[in-house]
Amino acid sequence: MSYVPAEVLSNVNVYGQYFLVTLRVLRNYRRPPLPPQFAMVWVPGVDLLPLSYAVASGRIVGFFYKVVGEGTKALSTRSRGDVVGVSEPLGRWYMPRGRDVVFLAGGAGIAPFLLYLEYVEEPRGLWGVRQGELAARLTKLFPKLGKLTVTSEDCTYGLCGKLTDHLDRVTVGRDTEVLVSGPSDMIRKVCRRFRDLGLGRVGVVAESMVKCGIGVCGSCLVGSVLLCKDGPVVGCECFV
Amino acid sequence: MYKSELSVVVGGLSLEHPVMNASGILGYLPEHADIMASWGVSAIVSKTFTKEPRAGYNPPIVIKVRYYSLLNAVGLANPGIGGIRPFVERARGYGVPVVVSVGGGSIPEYVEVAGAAEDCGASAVELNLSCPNVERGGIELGRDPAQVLKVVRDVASVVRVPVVVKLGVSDRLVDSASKAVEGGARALTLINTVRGMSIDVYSFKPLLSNISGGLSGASIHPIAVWAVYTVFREVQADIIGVGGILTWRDAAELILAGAKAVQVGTALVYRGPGVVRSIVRGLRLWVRRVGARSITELPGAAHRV
Repeated sequence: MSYVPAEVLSNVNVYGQYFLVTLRVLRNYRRPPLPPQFAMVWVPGVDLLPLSYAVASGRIVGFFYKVVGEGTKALSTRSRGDVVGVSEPLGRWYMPRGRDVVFLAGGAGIAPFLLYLEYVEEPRGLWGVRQGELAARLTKLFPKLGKLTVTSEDCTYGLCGKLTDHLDRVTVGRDTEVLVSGPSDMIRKVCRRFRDLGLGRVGVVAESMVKCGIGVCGSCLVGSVLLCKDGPVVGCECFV
Repeated sequence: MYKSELSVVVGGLSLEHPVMNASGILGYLPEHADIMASWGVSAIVSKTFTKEPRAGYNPPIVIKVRYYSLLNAVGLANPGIGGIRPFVERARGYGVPVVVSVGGGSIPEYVEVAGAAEDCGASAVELNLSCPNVERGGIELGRDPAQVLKVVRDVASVVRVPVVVKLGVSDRLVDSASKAVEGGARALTLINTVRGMSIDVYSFKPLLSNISGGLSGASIHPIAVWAVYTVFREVQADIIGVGGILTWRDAAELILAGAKAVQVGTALVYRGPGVVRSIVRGLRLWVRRVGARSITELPGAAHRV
């Protein structure tokens, strides 16, 4: 893959280990990023991270991420004026066909939906977080997030409990399109539930270890799909 | 098998057409074999297997560089000897020869992995004596003709399937090639990637985590043509040409230089999964255009003019 150099505009510690980095790319993209595409963000000399575009507007792009390892930790220390590398948008963009779209996100799995919120008129769904404070703060940065119902495990924001405790609140019709993103066990539970209901179409915005980003190394297989080429939206059959 | 104008026999392998994939593009999991078969290659060539599993390097491991080229330092990531059987069994289901690329840090390791590949049903083994990205074995072995002779002889004496030897460009390429043949190689794959490097001009850091890596793609095509031409002239051997084949013309050039078959790697990234079929179509028209009855009349034809 090739990189576009990008200058850090801000790198906000949203809450706890969660950050939102905003960058200005120094060269135009050949194709603008669309949800739920992702980029490989290169932290020079440290690591290369697959991150979903949360913001994409002209040359301004943003990524919502959780610090989990050395690479994300290094990224969190980059500040205004630092330069990192951002790849061209990877994976296939995907727009739900119907009008009734449900987003189900667990924790940092909200990242791809932040960009979707710019494109989907009347989104609904659930976002499950451990600490309600994260939801409160990110909603201030992305007001459209208010259209989703938050479930917090510490019971300080929205509904009390895990997202999967509240799945029965999500009504689905024949034309409903459900997109889910988050930890694998959450995805499995969601997929099983909708399979049992026999209603709606469910797509998973999957995550995987991505190393090369161009379909060469084969690291990003999810089921039989190479996530970097033909993902990140895959069917439930890859998880159940 | 129906003999078409494109069918070839190289190193004892009967191929429906001369275009296979180059080792290193996917190729170590059964799911990868499904994808590779869909490209329409005439033989499926695995990624290099080593005895022990290798995690490979941390990313960035592959970057695109000008023009139509890739720089990679994957670090021979593979599941080890135990991964060969599931891959080969799946790949064989597609009815084309399956070539297992074999790597190692020592000669006994090459022998062991090649033996395992044969036991698992590989149609041939391709000894990777030229990977620029590992410290031991790899390119150091391929550069030393005496070592080439030893490793090829040791492998060829224990496996019955054809042994193909993949060499990179070096000052002693012709010597290494002739020693490989003396050791029992049925074919030579020429060339591997060429060592290269790229530096980010903003952060001053090398782009690859391994600092340097192997350059493939259009940038190395003229080097491959030269290597195939030179070895064909000096050494009696079947040659599989590889290096920067983006179109049928590039493949035809390597065939005229002396290759009986070719491998395609970087083109799959730049031109997509349909590139193999596109090259095969182009070669078919070319064979007719130049008035040949079969593509087998053309390897090395550039030496006859």
